[in-house]
Amino acid sequence: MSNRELVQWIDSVYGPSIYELLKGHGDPSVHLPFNGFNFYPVFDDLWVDKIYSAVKKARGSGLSMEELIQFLPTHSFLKFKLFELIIDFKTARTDPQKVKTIFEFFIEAIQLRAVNKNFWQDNRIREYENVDEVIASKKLVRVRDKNVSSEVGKITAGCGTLVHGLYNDFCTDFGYDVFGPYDATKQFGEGSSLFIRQFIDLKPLEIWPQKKDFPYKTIKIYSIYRNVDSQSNFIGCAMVYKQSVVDNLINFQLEIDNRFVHILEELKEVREMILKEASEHYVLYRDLGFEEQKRLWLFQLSYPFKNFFERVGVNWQPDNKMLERVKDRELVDYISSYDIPRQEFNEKFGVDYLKNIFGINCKDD
Amino acid sequence: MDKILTGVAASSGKAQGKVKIVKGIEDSLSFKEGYVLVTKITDPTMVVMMGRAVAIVCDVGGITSHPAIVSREMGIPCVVATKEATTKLADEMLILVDGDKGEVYLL
Repeated sequence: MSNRELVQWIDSVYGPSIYELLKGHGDPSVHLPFNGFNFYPVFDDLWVDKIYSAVKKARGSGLSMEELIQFLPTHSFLKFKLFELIIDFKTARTDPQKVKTIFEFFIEAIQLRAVNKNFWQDNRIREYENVDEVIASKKLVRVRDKNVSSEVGKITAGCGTLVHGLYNDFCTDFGYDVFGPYDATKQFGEGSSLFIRQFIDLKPLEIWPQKKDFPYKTIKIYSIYRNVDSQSNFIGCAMVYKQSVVDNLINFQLEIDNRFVHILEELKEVREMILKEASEHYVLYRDLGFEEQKRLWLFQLSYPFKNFFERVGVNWQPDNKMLERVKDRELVDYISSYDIPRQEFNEKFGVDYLKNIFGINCKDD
Repeated sequence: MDKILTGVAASSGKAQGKVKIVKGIEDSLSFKEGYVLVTKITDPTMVVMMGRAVAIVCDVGGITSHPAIVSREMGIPCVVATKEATTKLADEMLILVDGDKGEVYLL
């Protein structure tokens, strides 16, 4: 992609996508445990430097992107972190060459996983493109009872909520991703589609050692819907369905730590456990207080990059400089509303800064 | 049937039930199966109550906010950004939530 094409892409695809996503969120005051957009400017330069250092090491490691992608965090998380980094570039006034290095690395990684070049409005990844293979290997079962669909829906909602507390509102996408729709017409008839919900780490002991007794690490839910129209909004968990995903579930499989679960009684047990844990965990998280939540945020941000950082020789944990920077610091007043004119939005969210870097500061390739 | 609130349609479907205004996890014990959960904005501590609710109505939020995502996955109607649900509605009122139109009616 030339710089000119990139600027066009930022204008016509990236900018509108993030605008829609945030407009859909309503109000930044609803973010939990606090509005991260007002926290990142406190330490953004240090975070950008850490990412830059890791990217430089990765590029110099001789490893291909196909190899590196195995160590990078999940698809939606990578997209959302790039979005945040674009704001950081602007607030930290990052050197244009550093911006270019980081941006191109993230885009290459995201594109490698994505089915569609327009990955901001399509969250399908190549891993699940072979629908026949997914259906056969995951042994999907037919839904014969509405109670089963309801339990599956509640388990999904419970896992999504638990993740919300484990990773905070801005890092949720590491723990919760939704891929689809994959066309399943051939296998299940007209209007059928496959969605995969992935909760990759419900027990991150490195950041929540208190969770050692929680029984589930990874949950994946494979669902076939008939006649459900969906719209992907930038990240997987923000998928909007026009029809009920409970009423229109026709086949499914729940995979917990490589074990299939689909019997109603078992599903009820899992649902009770997950909902209770999600609720109680958030009480624990909320009660930590602001200082500890800020400190923990740095770990929640870094942990999803753990495998990548370690693979390229960077300590995954936040260093003392970063921890000291956020200590006893209040949030800044950077973004307090999403309901702002488009021009101001583009300026605040770094869209203009990025465009200028690729349009003016860097020579066309 | 009087329309009492208009907001953003966040999860499709229609459901009716009695209102329960929820402030936090402390309402969990009194929240019965079949209530409509009405709150300023849901937080994760309310997820057990959300699992018992027939519908959710919030003062704030958007289509990608917590109540919207959770209610879509649970397959129950949800209306967000009504601005004054927690002031106009009161416990035990019988209402209909239209998650397709983003409207709430008093029955």
